[in-house]
Amino acid sequence: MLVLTRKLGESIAIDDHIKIVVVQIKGKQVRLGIQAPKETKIHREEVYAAIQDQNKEAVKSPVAMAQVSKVLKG
Amino acid sequence: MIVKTGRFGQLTVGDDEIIRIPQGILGFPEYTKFCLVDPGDDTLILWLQSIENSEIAFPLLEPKVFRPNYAARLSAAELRELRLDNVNQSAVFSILTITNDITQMTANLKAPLVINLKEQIAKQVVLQENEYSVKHLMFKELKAHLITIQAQNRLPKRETEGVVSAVSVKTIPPSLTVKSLTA
Repeated sequence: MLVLTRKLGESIAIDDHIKIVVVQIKGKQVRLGIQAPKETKIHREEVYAAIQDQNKEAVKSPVAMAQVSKVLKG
Repeated sequence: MIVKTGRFGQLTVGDDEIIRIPQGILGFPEYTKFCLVDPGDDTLILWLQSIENSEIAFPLLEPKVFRPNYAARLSAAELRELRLDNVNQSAVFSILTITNDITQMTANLKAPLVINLKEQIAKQVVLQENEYSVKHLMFKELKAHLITIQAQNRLPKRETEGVVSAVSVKTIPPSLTVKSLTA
């Protein structure tokens, strides 16, 4: 992994179109501003963890679907 | 081919019924070959069954059933990965979590499964919209929808109810809910 040191207000550029700015540093929190083309998808990493957890729950759906079907259609 | 499944016993799956998910479902990267199973229970819920592991199956439902204005906006890279040059040849499904208390079932609106119906490849896409939850309650809407179509007799006629079958990918109607982020 490439590691860079930046000060408040400084930024890094990724390719020609993505810019990440250090907007605020407060204790252990860093606020970042991100400028990117609108088709770039940007997510907090926790989003992926939440989706993985949800998929693992989805696989555990009850085997007795007859009951589910009955409640839904009743 | 004959596919063993934990939920549906043995199924006969033809080439036109196989869906490849090269990157797998998030959290399950090791499984890349699936088929869609219609359990024949008229709930509109289909199952994404792993061909490689009989115990892995995800319940799926088209989000337009409970969220009529739903749209999945895909980046150019995602469209390329799905080989989707025409967004209208795709279907979109939410993965459901069916809880023991059925009324608490949820749909994942944040990360739908998008299927290229022509190429039979799919991807679980993470959408940018913050208002889309991974745990969207939808029991009431699904139940109301089923009662409405039952009343209007719009459920597709079946020769025999309760027959489990693999779904031919090319016969799935396009969802028309995939949009390009650049458009």
